[in-house]
Amino acid sequence: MAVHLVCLTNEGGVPLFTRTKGDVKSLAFAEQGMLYGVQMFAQNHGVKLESTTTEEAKVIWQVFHDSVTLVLVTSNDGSCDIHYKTLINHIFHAMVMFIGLETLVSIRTVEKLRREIKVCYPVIDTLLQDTDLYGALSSSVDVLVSAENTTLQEPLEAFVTSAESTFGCLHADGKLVVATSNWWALSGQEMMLVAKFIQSLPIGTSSDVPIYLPHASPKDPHRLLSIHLQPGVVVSVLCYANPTLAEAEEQLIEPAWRLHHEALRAIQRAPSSNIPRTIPLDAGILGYVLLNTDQHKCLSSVRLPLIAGGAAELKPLPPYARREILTAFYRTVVGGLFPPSLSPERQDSSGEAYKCLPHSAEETYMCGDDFKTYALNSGGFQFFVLFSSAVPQYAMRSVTKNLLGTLSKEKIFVDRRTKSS
Amino acid sequence: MDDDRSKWCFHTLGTYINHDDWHKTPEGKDYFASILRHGKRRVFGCLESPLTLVPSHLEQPKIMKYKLCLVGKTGVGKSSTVAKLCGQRVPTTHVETPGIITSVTYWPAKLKHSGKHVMFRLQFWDAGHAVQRKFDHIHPACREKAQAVLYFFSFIDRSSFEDLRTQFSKSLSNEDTPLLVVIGTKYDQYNRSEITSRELLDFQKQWQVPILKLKNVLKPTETNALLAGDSCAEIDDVAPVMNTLVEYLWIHDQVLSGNIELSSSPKLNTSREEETHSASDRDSDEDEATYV
Repeated sequence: MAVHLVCLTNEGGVPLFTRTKGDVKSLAFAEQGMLYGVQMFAQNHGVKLESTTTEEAKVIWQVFHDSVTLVLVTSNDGSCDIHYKTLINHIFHAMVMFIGLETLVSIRTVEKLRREIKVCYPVIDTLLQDTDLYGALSSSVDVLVSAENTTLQEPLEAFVTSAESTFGCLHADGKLVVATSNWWALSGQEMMLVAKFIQSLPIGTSSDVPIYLPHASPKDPHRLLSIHLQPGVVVSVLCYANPTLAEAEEQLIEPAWRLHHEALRAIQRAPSSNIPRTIPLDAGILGYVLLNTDQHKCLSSVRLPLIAGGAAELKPLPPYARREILTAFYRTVVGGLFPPSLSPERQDSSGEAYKCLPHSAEETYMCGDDFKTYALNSGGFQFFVLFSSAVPQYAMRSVTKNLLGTLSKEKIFVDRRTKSS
Repeated sequence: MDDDRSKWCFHTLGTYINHDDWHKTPEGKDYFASILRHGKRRVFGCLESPLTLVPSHLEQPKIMKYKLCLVGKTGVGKSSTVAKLCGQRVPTTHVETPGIITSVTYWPAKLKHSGKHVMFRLQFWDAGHAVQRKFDHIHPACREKAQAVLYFFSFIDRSSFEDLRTQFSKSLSNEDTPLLVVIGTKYDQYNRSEITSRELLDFQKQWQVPILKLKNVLKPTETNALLAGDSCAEIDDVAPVMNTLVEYLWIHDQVLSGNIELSSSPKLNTSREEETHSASDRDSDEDEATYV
């Protein structure tokens, strides 16, 4: 699936950058100009052009703050526009995260902006890529459930306090393991974008990067210190002038984390199911996505191990196929039947299909030649499960409900946000 | 060429640290095993160190920590060089560094005079050029207490070389005396070079700094060898540069603490004309770390 992204100034349509996904040539200058021109024509006639579909592709336009126009061209999978708009919204806010809202709203020199904007590419490219993580799709942060979720809270708090901050978190392999209550109070999009950025850092490094929180502080930069405690395990803290990176590394890391080697090693070796081995999984389950729509947390895996003798072993699906099916299922159901989980700041036009339903949908399922899927929407959770086609239809509902019952009680889903803010 | 080179060898390489493929000797292999894993360079987090991995029957090496600050124009290859020296995958396209990114790499070596083993811990402080200009705190943080400053230029970008001069006059006014090294990147595209060897010589003469030439790309065959897990291929590849770098750092340290006497200035600029460069007997076309 090829994707083209074009970013232009809204005034004048000067191209700022383009990104592509897949083995395709980037769009020619004339094509970029045409995409901009169509939108500008509509704008001049008092019409807001949002999207269009061709035989194969879908084109989405969005203008941010009357300053920056983003155009996304991607193959049309028939799902609601909301998912394309979510992606385009993430891309703009990734730009805000690195260069600040003011630079984007009042563009002084295009040349300078073009140079500055390059720092956003790694995160934007990750957003365009297919990944095993479902956070970007659901505007929430990917989390990991492990026995260490509680053990590691205390050293994190100690470290963040010693760095004179209240915003801090620990990621393992791009998934949030523990965070301070202020961190959990950030929007799902912010937590997700920071997680994507931390994942894009070279392994084993320490970094000190100025970032603007897209919603909490889009105009004032903070310093995000991220330090690899072990390869893939990164502790981050958001701070002002102090401490310096050298101080944090040399003086603050050791006291807080020294005694927690084992716990850190355990999350580094967390199973690919992203949940502890002690939680029993039905042998027919190939993958799942669990969303806490209220707290903007996303727990997922498409790499559940095949259990010997289990139903799934008869027709094994490779992880990429599982990912594609679950993604397609999610994109069909959310927006179509279930309400999407969006950042509260987002003001999108309505008209999503789920709003036309006479009642709110709670469960749905789908069967294909080599898979079955089941989805539940209940009690602040949306749960999507991919089954092997060998699992009988009648079993899917109870298996899904039981697993949701178990997982939703996990510590990671305890609401740790500070309510005051 | 040899005449020029002998005139400008700052210190004979290999005087203090074993160069000649020490990592291939049985003794060297034991030490290098601690920084390797499945034939690739092991990555160490902030809480880890290779010392625990050095076999207990061996002499435990002393850790020598150095902070190296990287300076150079955007896109010149600072981050790629770090990735290369740390044994990591070099990105194929330019990625703008969004802030300060520090990387640590360990390199075992044997001191020639005492026969002692040391584990060099080099921390590279790399910061994006654009972000340094936008935020004032970035550059001072990189320079603070840095034992060495690596200046970068690209062989295929003349302006990056011109920039060096201004940067040099700025930095030399500082009170601290870090080791200065110039690194020329993209040497693999030497036929497109915009800088002549004469200019490099003159520059070296004027500022008395060593100039290393690097190519951060691998030939396809070398990539295959790396993927095949041949533990020595990658180490072989960077060993000349790493050994040179750690030797300069070590000498600089010794000079500063007065353990090695140099004729006049504290910088490494003693040119002993009678000594020939140790690298001169190697094939200079193959060697990435030769001097002009």
